[in-house]
Amino acid sequence: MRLSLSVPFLTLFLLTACNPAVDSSAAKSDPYDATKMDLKPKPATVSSERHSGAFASGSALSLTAELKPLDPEPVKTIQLDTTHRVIEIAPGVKFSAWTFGGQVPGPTVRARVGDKIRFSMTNRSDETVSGVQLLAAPMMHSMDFHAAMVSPQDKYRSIAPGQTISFEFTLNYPGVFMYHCGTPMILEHIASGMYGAVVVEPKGGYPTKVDREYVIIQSEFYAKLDPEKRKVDGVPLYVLDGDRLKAAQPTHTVFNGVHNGMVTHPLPAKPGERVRLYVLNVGPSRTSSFHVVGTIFDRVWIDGNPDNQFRGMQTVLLGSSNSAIVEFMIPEEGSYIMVDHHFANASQGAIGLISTEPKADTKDLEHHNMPATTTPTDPAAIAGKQDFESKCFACHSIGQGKKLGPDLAGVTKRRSAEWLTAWLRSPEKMLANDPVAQGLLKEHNNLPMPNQNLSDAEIRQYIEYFRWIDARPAGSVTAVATH
Amino acid sequence: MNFRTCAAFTLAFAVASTASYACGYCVEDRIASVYDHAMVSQALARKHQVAFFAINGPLMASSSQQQSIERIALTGKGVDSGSARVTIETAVLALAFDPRTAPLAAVEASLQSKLAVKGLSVQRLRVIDKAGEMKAPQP
Repeated sequence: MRLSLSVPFLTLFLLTACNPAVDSSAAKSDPYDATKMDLKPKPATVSSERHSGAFASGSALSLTAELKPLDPEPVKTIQLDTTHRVIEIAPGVKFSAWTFGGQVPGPTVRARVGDKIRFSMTNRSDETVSGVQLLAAPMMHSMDFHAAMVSPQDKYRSIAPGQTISFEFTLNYPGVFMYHCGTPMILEHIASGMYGAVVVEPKGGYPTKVDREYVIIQSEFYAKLDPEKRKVDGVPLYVLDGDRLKAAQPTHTVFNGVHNGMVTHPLPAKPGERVRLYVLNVGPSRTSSFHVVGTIFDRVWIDGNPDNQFRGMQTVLLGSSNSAIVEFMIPEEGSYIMVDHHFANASQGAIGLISTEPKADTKDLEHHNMPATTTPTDPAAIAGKQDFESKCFACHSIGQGKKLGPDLAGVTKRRSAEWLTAWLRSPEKMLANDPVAQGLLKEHNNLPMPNQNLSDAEIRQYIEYFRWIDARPAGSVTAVATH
Repeated sequence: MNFRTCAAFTLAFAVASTASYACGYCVEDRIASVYDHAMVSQALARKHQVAFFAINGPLMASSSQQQSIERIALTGKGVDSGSARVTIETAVLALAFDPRTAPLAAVEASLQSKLAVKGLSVQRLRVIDKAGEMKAPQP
């Protein structure tokens, strides 16, 4: 009887002793212990004292894709002022942008869990830039740090041109966090260029060592020709297309602010190296399927937190404001292509290279887009060039000889605009009825050109591009990609 | 009036007077929807001030109502010609005025009486009387 009574008590005692809820050592080791987080930041201050000089400062900032090493100081003082700029988002496409720190994307902040960020921002959108009269009108702006846990009404309030807001916050979670302007319409402010990344390392650092670290920020642009037909350096100015913006139909989807970013200037790496990419999709409206051709992600940390780990992924899906840290090996010499595997986005410019060759831009490239040597300025020709480079290189070259299809240098001298239009609209009809088309088919191994389902506007743009090429001295414009 | 009713009125007044909402719709964000830097700069250059008001009452998202409120605002004594800015979506009105001709209280009172006919009223949000400064209303 006594034994039968004591067993339940003993069991209860043992269960209580082993209960992790009352194990104080386990509670102390929880990196997300809310009782240890700094959740009482001081109120923000707003003043009329403006910053001058550089639009961004702070040792924790990286201004390019290459991420600088972590500054060990536990308090990071950063200044990111808002200013308006004209930026070139694609060759010949000068876009009226709104920025943090005078660049798009804004500078990347690097810090560690537990660090305090001491932030200040002057709204300098009222400052003119010498020689440039085409900036957007001064307006109110704000800052929204996804890395911070603060009252939005206090810290993220909009300030007028000439005002400066300052506030502090402690970083409580690791991750790759977006920052952006939160002034309505937020969609417009983000689409105009007001975004960047904050990389927050875990308190004990990352569990792996890497040879290269790069930040990749994917974003959309919605650009249309300036209705007032203004020009910048003789090139038409582009402004925000509100209709396409609200319909989530971008004209350009890019890495690090530039169409085909890092194709002409690849990110370097060497065979055998381990590369870490901090990838952030800032949208504002579309999803990214981030992939690197030629390798597999050994580790993927969703939202940049090693506690959210996947192994051996080919592609990582990132919604708007989602991020991931991806790590992979460079197995051998070559150029490894970063793409958004939503290929409509890739065809709009979401392509970049990690290359073991220092001057990969002088060589023929596998896949996708290849820049020509010069750039048209007419908007239709620019659009035609971009479309040609994304869709046609598999079968055609310009001035580099026959491939699966004919070399298109001089095509507007050989064929009329009417013939080209009919051909691009419906190659299968032309092959059925037109003797020139039938002759071309025989010449090219009876390989018919597939119908590209082009709109009339797209056809006109292709023809404008071909006209632009043929108006230049023969041989001055060449472009090719190889398989 | 019993304690519970008084407390309810106090709470409602506190909420209304701060005019504070979730991120993207706080006071400054509402002001951003009508902020016209050129208008503000011109006003300050003439030593005038710019006032921002919340518009309370039934509003329709129509350009005719927007223009009607702007016209009414411009009839006030001391209000700068062409300075009225209204956004129906965020229910905000901005105007520039000469405080030497009519102090802010008089401008506001004029607006109240003229908009009351339409079932509308205004509530002061901020005033800019100096470059880089946006002041909350004094009690």
